[in-house]
Amino acid sequence: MTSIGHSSSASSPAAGVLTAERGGEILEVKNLSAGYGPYRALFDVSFSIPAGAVVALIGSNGAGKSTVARTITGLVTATEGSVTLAGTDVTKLSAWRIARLGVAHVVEGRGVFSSLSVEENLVLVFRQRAGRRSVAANLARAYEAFPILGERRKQVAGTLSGGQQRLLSLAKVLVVPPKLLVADELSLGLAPVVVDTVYEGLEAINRNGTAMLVVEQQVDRVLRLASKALVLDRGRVAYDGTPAGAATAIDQLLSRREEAGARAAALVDTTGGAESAPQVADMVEDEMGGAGSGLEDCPSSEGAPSPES
Amino acid sequence: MAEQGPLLALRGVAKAFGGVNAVQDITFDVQAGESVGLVGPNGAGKTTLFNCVCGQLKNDRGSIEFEGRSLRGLPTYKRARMGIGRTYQRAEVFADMTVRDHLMVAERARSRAGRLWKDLCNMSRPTDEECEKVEGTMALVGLTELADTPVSALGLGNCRLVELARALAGEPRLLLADEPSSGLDEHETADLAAVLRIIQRDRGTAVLLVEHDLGIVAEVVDRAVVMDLGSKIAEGSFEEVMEDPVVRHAYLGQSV
Amino acid sequence: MEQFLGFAVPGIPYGCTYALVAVALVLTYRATGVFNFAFAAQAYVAALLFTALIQSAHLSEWLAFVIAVVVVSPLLGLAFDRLLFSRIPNSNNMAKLVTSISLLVGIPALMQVFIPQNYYAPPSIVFNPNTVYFTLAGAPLNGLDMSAIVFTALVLFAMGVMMRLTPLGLQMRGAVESRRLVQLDGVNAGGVVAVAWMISSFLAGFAGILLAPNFSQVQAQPFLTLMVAAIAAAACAAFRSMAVAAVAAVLIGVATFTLQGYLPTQSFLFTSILPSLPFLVLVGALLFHPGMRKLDQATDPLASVDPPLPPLAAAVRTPAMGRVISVLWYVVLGLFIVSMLTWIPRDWESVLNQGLAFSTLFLSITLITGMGGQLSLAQAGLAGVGAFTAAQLANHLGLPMMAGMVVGAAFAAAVAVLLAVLSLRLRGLGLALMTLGAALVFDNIIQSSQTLGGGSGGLGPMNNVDWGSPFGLLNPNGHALFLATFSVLVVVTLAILMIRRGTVGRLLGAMRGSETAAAGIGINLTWQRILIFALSGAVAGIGGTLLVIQQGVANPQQFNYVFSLAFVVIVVTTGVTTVEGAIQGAFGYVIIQKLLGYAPAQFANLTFVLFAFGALTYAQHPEGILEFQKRRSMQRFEPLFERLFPGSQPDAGSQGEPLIAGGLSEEAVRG
Repeated sequence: MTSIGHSSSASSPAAGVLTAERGGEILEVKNLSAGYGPYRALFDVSFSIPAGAVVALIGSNGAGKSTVARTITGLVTATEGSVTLAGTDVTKLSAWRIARLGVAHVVEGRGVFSSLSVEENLVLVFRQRAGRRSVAANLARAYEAFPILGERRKQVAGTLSGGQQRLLSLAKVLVVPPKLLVADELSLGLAPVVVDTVYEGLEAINRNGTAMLVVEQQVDRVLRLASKALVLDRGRVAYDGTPAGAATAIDQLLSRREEAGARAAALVDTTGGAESAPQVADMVEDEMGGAGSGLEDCPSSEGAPSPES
Repeated sequence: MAEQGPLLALRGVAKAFGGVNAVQDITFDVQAGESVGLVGPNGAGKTTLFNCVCGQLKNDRGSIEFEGRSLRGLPTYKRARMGIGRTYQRAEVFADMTVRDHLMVAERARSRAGRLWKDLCNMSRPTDEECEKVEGTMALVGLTELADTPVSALGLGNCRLVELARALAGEPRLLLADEPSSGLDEHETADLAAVLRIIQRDRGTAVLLVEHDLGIVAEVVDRAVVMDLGSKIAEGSFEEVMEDPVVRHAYLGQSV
Repeated sequence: MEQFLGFAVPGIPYGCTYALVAVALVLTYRATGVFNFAFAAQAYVAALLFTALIQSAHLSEWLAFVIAVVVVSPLLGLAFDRLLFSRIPNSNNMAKLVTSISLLVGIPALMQVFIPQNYYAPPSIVFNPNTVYFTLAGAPLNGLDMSAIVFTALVLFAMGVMMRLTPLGLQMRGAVESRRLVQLDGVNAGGVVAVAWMISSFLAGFAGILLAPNFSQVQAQPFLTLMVAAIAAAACAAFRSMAVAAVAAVLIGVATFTLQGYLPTQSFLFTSILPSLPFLVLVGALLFHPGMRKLDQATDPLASVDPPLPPLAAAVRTPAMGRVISVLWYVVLGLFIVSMLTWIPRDWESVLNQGLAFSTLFLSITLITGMGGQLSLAQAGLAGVGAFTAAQLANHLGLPMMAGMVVGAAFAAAVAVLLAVLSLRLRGLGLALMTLGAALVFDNIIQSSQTLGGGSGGLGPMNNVDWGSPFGLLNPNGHALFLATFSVLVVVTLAILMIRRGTVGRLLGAMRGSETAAAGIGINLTWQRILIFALSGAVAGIGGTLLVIQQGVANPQQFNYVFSLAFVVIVVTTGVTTVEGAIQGAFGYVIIQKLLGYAPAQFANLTFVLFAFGALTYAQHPEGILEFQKRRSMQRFEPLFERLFPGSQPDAGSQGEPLIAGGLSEEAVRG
């Protein structure tokens, strides 16, 4: 995979143009809330990405990691808060304008046009990102970095294997390094060898000054790469700090969850508020012919919270 | 005869989408009244497996048996009538209905009392018995105060409870709950876990739970099945599987 | 072979115009998910404008061409995209369908207001229509044919080059697959989609002026036929491949002309089946092409980004308000009955009788679309099935019309069931096309057959049968007809209300809310669908029969598929979810029609323009713009009612009232 490092350094003119001013913050997210219609996925999320840094965004399924990624790149519109990219407010910009400002987003799952050929997939993005004249050179670089794509350049992308499709979506961003790369679950469903390749690629473009937000479930690997880590929990930032601290934060989170679960169990033993218990008992008797309702061990409690409170 | 056998038996179930094996060779049982957690990272094939069990998808290979009867070829609604209830990852509620209507329609669908001529003769008013049942289920889930609210006015948390109550109104022997806690806050999640416990204990309903909130899983389930990349990688008590290094690696990417 | 070619070659020019529209359909459908029925209207607009510019404004042909096809057509497409379709959420398939159908209904009607009916002879471009350029297998190709073939080939070739070889084409193909993914590559997807609309509208306009010279006058009808053939061709390609669609279109043109040559003229096959050929192709594609079943499934990998559709707002009224409104309803009803029997002049009584008949017919749309959640474009056809059954039974067996109405309703229900069974796997667009196809087949059969449909004058009473029997009860000249029609409407309305309140209504509500979850609680969706189709068919049959009784003649034109489209547009405007909606729509329709009778002839079609504009708001107000306004104005009165009847508020504690407060319906509707 040395070829990627080589290729990206060869593209240094482009990289030079695209790299943000050193030392500042490339991305600043403030009090961000977002969701899908009535479904709210993010609540008051704030964090920042220093120029050239790699930030790991971790958390369990459904914690809102992908929504953070999508809101930054404009696929999902924020309901509150702001996203600032290298000093420009991009909160209300549409996805393509944000992309043109130098943000690349590798989406979760298949991020390629399955009806276009491999080459067409690459040409489409290279034209937009690096201009028409350098398309040929960039193509050559992409095929050099990923020879398998060169072999299949005329093949329709939908017929590639899952791993090859992921390589293609990486090639789209690696060859012309963006200012900020948002990578969503890159390793999902990939064989370990391929994951290694992917991460080497990420390191290579980071050396060229591209800042990254890497969304991952494979915690260990991303934490080794990252210079900063964010842990999301239920749409809120639960931890924001060094990668080393993130692992502990996750463990704490898990044990807190287990506690919450224990509390829930305790609730079962005390709930069945005054009004519901008798009815439940009746019902259970109806259904089971009066046998073993088991509600006897449920002392009713006035203070038991009801779900909608 | 069904007393001895498992309630739900999966044998070598496999499902592929255009070359991608979403579910491969899954085998496990759910006993009557048992609560089993189905856990695994994103894209592990849990929801696909659910869809195979309740009939929205046809499994390519393997067999699924419910109370000793093969489910092959049965449409979703017939499986539901056999006693398989279900909640959905993306809450599927009937937008223009009230909470009570949800339960009433589920009750009617279960009892299959609906007849066109009865409607036309004004004979399809809810009976006292039906009302009692519906009230009972609402009380159990804690929706009594919202009974006459259209679900379009409810938040996601309550919509999930409505789904759960609707599934319960069908008096299932097996409840498939697909990420019931996603989008809920901690408090609502705890309530939900409580409800799942109650129905399992008091109604003898078996629960097959897909959930990423390990807290709920830990409390609700008797046993856990772990999936990754479409395959079953572990099975056992929750504590056991969470100790399993293979599971920790798949779930959290933590090396051994 | 020689003979075959002789028959086949003249079909090619027609096939070419179909191909242009078919390609346009595929392009917009793939790029935007909109199946634009309105291309027929756009073709018509271009042809009419082109002709009018040459003959009234005396512009040169080339200038007229540039204005009509190169400038106005794409601008029209751009306007549709920017003002209408780009504002409809991607997942709202019903709104996209309704909007394009309203355009199809509204635009030709609007054009007739601005450019009065006249007898323009459409010119041809470049090639002289009267010169035979060469003869192929004995078939002469004149200038019209030449321009159709040559220009279509040129335009489609240019399209192919553009899509395959240019950056724009690449972006467009990317946008076709996923609008969001292409944005992440920095492509302005909205702009690309707008260009797709402009190109496809240009193609439709071009098809319009190529097709027009084949007819002696620019009228909307041939363009609708063009549309249908194009839809069939596009369906053969499962709305995917433009090349396949173009080839299929030419083949349909050729097949039609070849069969025309071989089949004996005057035979049933020639007169009825042949014009239906495009539909048979369409139905075949819908039934057997696996791609057509997946039409409404999202192919965009990022589709989950779309928020779910906001639900239809439930009408929430305070009880006091509800009581007052129901009292008002009874008062209006009483006044209406008394007025009809006393002071209303004869011609208006007949108009209002018609309103009653249409109300019944429209209630069939309330059933299938409002309660069943299925868009059917065959309701006028089903009404026709009922009406002609009753009329034929009366004429040949002497069965009284009222009894015939029951048989007709049963027969229409049977046809509807057949349709439901054929389209069990289809949803949304697929179902709409299937029902449209059915309506057209019905049209062709009934219109072409003298025996079945009575020819151009329609089918009147024959064999000394009096349709007004028994006892002259249904004689259009007495109040009895009013009472009879009114009673039928009342019975139908009550039945629908009972069904809606009852179990079947609830099960249907569940199916409408979520098919997945409905099946998951044990509802047999197949059976529910068949049931609602049957009910709707029966009600449509009753409505059609009432209409025929009222008019004294069964005219096939009355049940034309264009009316099927128009009826949907009307009911959608006045409210498809409520019984009042259908009734208001029916009375609005007949009363406006009657009033426009006093205006100059060119305004005759203004009714459709009005309703079409109403239906364009469907995406924002799925409960009907009229219903929306009604609810809003009622909400304004609500505080007044609360002050007038302070005790009538439901006790908030037990009913969870606070959650509904704050104008839920309005909020949800706006959101």
